[in-house]
Amino acid sequence: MELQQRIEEAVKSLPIISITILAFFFGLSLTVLADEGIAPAGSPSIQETAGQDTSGEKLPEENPPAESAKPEAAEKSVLGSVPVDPAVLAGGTVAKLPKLPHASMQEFVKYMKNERKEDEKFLELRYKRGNSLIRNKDLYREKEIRAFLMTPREKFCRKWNLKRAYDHAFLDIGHGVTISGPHLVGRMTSAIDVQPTDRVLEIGTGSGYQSAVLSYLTDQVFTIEIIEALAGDTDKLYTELAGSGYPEYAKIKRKADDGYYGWEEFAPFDKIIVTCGIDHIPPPLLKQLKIGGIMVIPVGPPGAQILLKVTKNKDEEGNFVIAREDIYHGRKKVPFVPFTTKEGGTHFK
Amino acid sequence: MMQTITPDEHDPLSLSTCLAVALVSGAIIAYELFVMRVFANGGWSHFGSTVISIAMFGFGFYSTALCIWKEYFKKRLRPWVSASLLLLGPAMAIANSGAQKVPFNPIFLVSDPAQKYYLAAYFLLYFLPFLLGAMFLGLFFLMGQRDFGKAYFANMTGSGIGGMAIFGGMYCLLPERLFLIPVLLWVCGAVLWLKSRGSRKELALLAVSALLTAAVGLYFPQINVSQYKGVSYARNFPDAHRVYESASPFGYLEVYSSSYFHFAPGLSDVAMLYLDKMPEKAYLGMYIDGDGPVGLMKKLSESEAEYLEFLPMSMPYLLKKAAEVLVMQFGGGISTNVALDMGARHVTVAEGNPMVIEALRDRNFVSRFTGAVLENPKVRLIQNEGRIYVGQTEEKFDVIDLSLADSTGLSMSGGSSIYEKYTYTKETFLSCMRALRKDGLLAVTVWNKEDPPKSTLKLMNTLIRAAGDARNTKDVRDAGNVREPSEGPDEIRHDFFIAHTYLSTLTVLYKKGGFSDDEVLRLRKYCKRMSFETIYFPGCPAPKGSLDRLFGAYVNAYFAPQENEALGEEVDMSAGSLYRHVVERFLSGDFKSVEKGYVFNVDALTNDRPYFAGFVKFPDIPRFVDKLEAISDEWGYLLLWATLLLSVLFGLALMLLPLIFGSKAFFSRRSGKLSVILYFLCLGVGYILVEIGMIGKTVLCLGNATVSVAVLVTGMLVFSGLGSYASGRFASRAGSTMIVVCSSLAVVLFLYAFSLDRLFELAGSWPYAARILFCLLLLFPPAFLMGFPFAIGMVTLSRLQKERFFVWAWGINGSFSVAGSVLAPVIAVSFGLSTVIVISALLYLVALPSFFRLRMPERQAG
Repeated sequence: MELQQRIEEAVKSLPIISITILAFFFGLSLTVLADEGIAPAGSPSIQETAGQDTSGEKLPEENPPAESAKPEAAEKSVLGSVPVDPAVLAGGTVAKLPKLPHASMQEFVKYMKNERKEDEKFLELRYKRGNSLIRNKDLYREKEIRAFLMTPREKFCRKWNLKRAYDHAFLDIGHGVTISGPHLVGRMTSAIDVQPTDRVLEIGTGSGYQSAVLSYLTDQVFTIEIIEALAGDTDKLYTELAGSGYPEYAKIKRKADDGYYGWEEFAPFDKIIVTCGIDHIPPPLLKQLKIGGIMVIPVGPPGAQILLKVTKNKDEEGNFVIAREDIYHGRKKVPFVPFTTKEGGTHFK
Repeated sequence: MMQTITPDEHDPLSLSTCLAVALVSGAIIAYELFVMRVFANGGWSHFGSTVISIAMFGFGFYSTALCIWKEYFKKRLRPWVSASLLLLGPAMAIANSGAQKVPFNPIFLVSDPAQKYYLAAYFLLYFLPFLLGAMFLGLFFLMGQRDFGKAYFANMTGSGIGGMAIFGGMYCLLPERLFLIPVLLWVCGAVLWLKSRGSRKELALLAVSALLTAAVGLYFPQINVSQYKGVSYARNFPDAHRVYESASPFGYLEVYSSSYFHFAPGLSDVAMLYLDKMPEKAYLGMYIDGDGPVGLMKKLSESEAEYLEFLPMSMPYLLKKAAEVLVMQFGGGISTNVALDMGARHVTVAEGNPMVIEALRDRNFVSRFTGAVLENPKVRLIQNEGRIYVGQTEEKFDVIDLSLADSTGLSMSGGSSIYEKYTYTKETFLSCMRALRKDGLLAVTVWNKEDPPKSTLKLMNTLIRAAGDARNTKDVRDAGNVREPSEGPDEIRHDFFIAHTYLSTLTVLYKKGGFSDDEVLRLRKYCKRMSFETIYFPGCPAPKGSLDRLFGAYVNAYFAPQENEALGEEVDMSAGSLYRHVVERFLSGDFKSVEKGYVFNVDALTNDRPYFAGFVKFPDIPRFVDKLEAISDEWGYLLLWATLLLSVLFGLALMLLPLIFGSKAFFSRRSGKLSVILYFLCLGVGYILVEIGMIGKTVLCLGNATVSVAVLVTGMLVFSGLGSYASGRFASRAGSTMIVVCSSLAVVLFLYAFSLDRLFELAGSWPYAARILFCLLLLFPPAFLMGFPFAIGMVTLSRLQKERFFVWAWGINGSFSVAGSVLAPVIAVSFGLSTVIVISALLYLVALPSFFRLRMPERQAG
C-alpha cells in the first residue's frame, strides 16, 4: 500500500520534475549566460589603412594614410559632469533647444516630465542607460549625450518588447528588422561627430530611432528604408510624434526606396550611416559622400558588431583616398559591449 | 520458464504485426526528418537538431515510466498500445503546427529572457509525438521480448524505410507537404495493427484520428518562415517575384527577381572613381532552404562588365592571359564571368548541386537571364564537386579559382553550425596544387568579416601547410616546377601573395614555382590602385614588434580588457598587423606558436577535421560563457556543448529515476545494475558515434550532406535490423557470438578510421549511383555487426527474467544515443572524425566484459 502511494505520488510529480529539470537546465545554460556577469568583449579596436603595402618601400602613386578623426576621451564618465561642447550651442536647431539639465536623475526626470510629458519610468531607464553609455565610452561629448537623453526610445519600440526599451539589446520591430541597441546607436552617433550644419544620410530607417537621435544634432537628416511597409509605419510615427511635442522629427526627410543608390537629389552628404547588410560598399554612396566625409557601417553578427568607419579624402596630389578603419583608430582597446551595469540586475535591465 | 506477458490471443510477432510496427517506426523517423526540414526552411537548422535531440528523450522518458510502472502497463497493454497509436498522428500534426506559432528566434536567445521559454515550448511540443511513439514501440518490445531480434528488426528496417520515404518524397513534394509522408506511414501502420486485432471500434476511432490529423496538418501552416530568414527579405522587396522553384533532397531552391539585388563581393572602394555606374538589375537572388542570396549574374554588356576588374577575383588574370581555368564552384557565376571577361581561353567549372545546374540549363527564365553561360562554347561543366573533380583529374590548369565557395560557412554571421568544409582542407589544396600547370596560380578568395580574424587565419594555416607538403609530395613536384626540398624552407616564401580589404574579403594567391619580381610589382600596384591592403608578398620585410605581446593583447581583449588600456603604441592590433605577424610565423614553419598563443583556435583544416567552426579553444569555453555575444558566430558549436550537457544530465536523471522512485525495492535486490548500465550505455553511444562519424566521412564521397545523411541513416538502420534478426539464430551461443562480433566490429572500425578517406577519394570520380552503392557496401559490415549486441543483450535479459532491466536497458540505450549524437561532432571538431570512429570501436570492446557480467543468473539479495 505504501509502495502504491509512493508510485502515485511519483506519477503526479513526474511532469513537474521533468519540467523543473528542463527549466533548471535552461535557466542554467541560458539565463546565466545572459546574466549580469556577461562581459562580451566584442572585438578589440582595430585600425586599418586602405591600400597599405607592407614593404615600407614607396610604390608609384603611393597614397598617404588617410586622416582620421580620433574621438576624444571622455574627461568624466558620469552624466551631468561631461564638459559642454561649445560647438553644439553655436547654432542650428540644436542651439534652439533648451539646455537639458542632467546633473542628477531627479533633475532630469523633473524637467522632462514638465517639458515633454514623458513617462517617469522610461525617463529613469533612459537616464540610467545614458550613464552606462558614458561609462562604456559610447557617448563622450555633451551634444550626443543630450541627443540620447532627448530621444524617447520607447516610442520607437514595439508594444511586445516595450518593457525592454532601454535594455542593452537590439529588439525585434517586425519585418525581420531590429532596433539597434542603445550602445550601438550611441557609438555610431559619436563616431560620425555630427556638426549642426551637417547633412546626414541614413540607409535603413528601420524603427526611426537613429534618425530621431540625429535630429537633435542637425536639422538635415535624410533616411531611406527599403521595406515599404516599415517605411510607412515609421513615416506615420514621425508625423504623429511631430504633432505631439516632438516637432524636430517633422524635419527628417524620409522615403521608401533602394538605399543602394543614395539620395542624389540632396547629395553630397557629410556623414552617412548604413545599417543594412550588403557585401560591398555601394559606389553611389561613396560618390555622394563629401570629401572629408565619414561613413559608418556595422559589420558582423547582431550583438557583436564591429563598426567599420570609412573616410573619403584627397591626398596632396588630388587623388581620392578611401580609408577603412575601426572607429577607435586601432588604439583604444574599448570593448564594444559594456561589461557590467553597476545599478544591479542583468546588464539588459 | 518465463511467464508470458502477451495481452491477447494474437501472436505479437506475426507478419502483419511486424509490418505495422515497421510502418509506425518509419513514420516516427520520417517525422523526425520532416521536422529537421521544417527547421532548415523556416528558421535555423542547428536549433532543429537540438530540439529533436532533446525531444527524442521521449523514448528515455517512457522507458523509465515503463520500468517503474511495468505491472500497471502490463495489465493494460492493449488500451495503452491502441491509445498511443491512435494519438500519434494528431500529436504529430498538433506539435508541428503549434511549434510554428512559437515566436522563438535564436538571434535574441541571449538578450531576450523570454526566448528560453519559447525554446522549452518547442521541446514540450515535439516531446509529445516522440513520447507516444516510444510508448507504442516500448510496449511492443515488451510483448515481443521472447524474440527481440525479430521485433527489433521490424523496428530498425521500418525506420530505415521511413528515412528513405522522406528522401524520395523530397524529390516530388515541397518541404511543407513532406508532412504527408509520416502521416501516411502512420495511417497504414495503424490500420494494419488494428485490423489484425479485429476491433471495429478502434478502426472507427482511427478514422476520426486520421481526419483530425489531416485537418490540422492541412489547415495550419506546417512551415512558418522566419522574417529573419534570407528569403523573407527578398519577399519584402517591392518588385520581387519568384521566377523559379524546385525541391529535391539537395534542398528547396527558389530564385527571385528584383532590382534590389546588388552583388559585388569584395568590390574595391575606389570603384566609384572609375565607374560611371554599377550595372542595374544584373542579378537574380538564389536561395536554398531559404538561405542566401547567392547572386546569379546576368550576361553583362562590355561597359557593364567593367566593374569585374574591381573585384579581387580578377587578380590571377593580371598575370595569366588566355588561361586554362578551373572554377571550383559555379555558385552564382561571378568567378566564371570574371574569368571569361578577363580573357580566359577556356573555363572548366564544377558544380555539385544538380538543382543549380538544372535551374541554369533548362532554357527557363533563369537560364535566359544568365545568358546560358553554362552553354558558352568556352565553358565546360563538371557535374561534381570541384574538390572531388580536382582530386581525380589528370588535367592541368593555369588558374584554379576558389572564390567564396560554400560562403555560408566562412565568416557568415548568425551562428554557423558544424558543417564539414572539405573544399578548404589541406588535402583539397594539395590536389589543386597538383592540378596546376608549371607556373600555375591557385587563387582563394574568402569573406573577411571577422575581427579578430579566425576563419581567415585557419585558411592561411591550411594553405601554407599544403604548400609545404606540396614541396615534399612527388606527384605535385612532378606536375610542375615546385622547388625541391633541398632548396630550403624559405623557398615557400616566393609562392604566396596575400591581400585583403578590412571587413570585406581576403585573397591568397599561390603560384607553383614562385612569383617573379615583375609579377610581384604588378600585383602590388594593382592592390595599391584598388585600395586593397597587401598582407604579404615575396621579399616583403618581416613585421616589427613582438608577436607574443600582440597575442597577449588579443587574449586580454576578452579576458582582461583593462590590461589593454595601458598598451603602448608599439602593439598594433590592426587586422593587417596580425596577419603579417602570423603569416611570417607560418612561412617560417612555426605553426605551433600561433596555434598555441592566439586567443582562438586557428588549426589547419584537414579531411579528418574539416571545420571552420569550433574556434573557441576547449579550455576557454567556461571563460566565454559570460561573453556569449562577443562570439555569436560560434553559437552553433557552443549549442552542441549545451545540448551535450543537457542530454547527459537528462540521460542520467532518467536512468536513475527507477532507482530513486518506485523500483527502488526491486533494484536494490537485483545484482548486475552496473553491467546493464555500462553495456547499454556503450552500445547507445557507440552506435551513434559510428553513424555520425561515417556520415561525416561519406560527405567526402557523396558531397551533399542531406544525401549522405539519407543514405547512411537508411543503410545503418536496415543493415543493423538484418543483424539483429540474424542474431536470433545465435541466441543459444550468445557468449562466443558476442566475442566474435565485438572483436570483428572493433577491427573493422579501426580499419575504417584510417582508410575510409582514401577509399572514398578513389571512388570520387565514379557515377553518383555507383558511389552511393559503394558507400552502402562499405557500411554493410559494421552496420550488420552492430545489430547483434543490442538484440543479444535484450534477449539475454529477457531469458534471465530480468524484465525490469529489459525496459530499463532500452531506455539507457536510447537516452545515451541522444547524448552520443551530440558528442560525435564535439569530438570531431576537437580531435577529428577518425577519433570518433576509434572511440566507437573501443566502446564495443568495453561492452564485451559487461555482457558476460550481465549474463550471470539472478542473485537475490537478502
